[in-house]
Amino acid sequence: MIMTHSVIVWSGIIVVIVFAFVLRVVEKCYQAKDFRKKHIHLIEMSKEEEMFYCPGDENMEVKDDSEN
Amino acid sequence: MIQKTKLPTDIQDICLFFSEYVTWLMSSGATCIRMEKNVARIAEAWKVDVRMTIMPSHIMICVWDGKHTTSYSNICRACFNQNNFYVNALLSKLSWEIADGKADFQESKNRLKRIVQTPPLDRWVVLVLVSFANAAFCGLFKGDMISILLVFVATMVGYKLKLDMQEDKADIRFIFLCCAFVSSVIASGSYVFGWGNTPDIALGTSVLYLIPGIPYINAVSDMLDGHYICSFSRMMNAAILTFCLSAGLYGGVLIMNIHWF
Repeated sequence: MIMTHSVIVWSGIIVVIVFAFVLRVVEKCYQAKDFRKKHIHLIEMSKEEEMFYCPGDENMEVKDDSEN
Repeated sequence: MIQKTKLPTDIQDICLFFSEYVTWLMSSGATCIRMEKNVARIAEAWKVDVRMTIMPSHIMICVWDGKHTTSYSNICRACFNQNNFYVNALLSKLSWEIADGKADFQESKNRLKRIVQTPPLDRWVVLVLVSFANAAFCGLFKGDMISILLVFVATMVGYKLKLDMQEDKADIRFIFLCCAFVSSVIASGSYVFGWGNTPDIALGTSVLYLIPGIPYINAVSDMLDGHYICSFSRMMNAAILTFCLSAGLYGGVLIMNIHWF
């Protein structure tokens, strides 16, 4: 088979789709084994504020340690 | 036939019952006229007067007692689940049984609670049936067996992706775009590899399972009954989904470099 541009693109997209479904199956297996029933995503989109704190971030809860 | 003629007396309870009833009816894909008729039927049986305003996302209900001395109003928000004609039919059946005197108020509340807890059809069954239905569409448009098989696979993959993305609470428009893209790419294999003799039919029918037919039909029904706001809202929703579907299909055709026209 001559590997034309269309064949390569088609095969690449199919591989991505299959990979996405396999990833989902793996996620479901991890969730089934996790007794805390935490919803785990191997890949997910989120805000950077949930992982890092940058000075000046809004809605930051300031803990007052002066009373201790 | 056992005639249960015990009528409800608390207007607030009646209004809250109607609120939940109409909310679930709207969520399961009923038209405005069906909601109005069902509520009017129940109201006549319970000898109360109901005034209802149906908006695209909210329903305002005002219930008056028979003597028009006491009223209770409520505004409820529709929750947009997937269309469920089975729940729709059960809710309509409930309204008829109330009208026929076969169910009193307490029993009606219990039955409503059971109806809304009806589990949806198994997703794997729906997946297979939708794939067969879309493949049948391909055959209907005179596609050959290889194109029918290709459309079956494309639909199965696309619908599975739709189920997974809905589970992840992705935006429905983005879901339609992605699923149309995936299905069209899979079906474009007929152009790329020369599978079958009707590649254009395979590509065209591969995304038909995403067409929002029920919102379009409901929009026309609402328009005929004079509910123009709901009709326009449903029509716009359906049009936006159709646009996203078309964009996904076009993206698939573009990326595969198919000269369709």
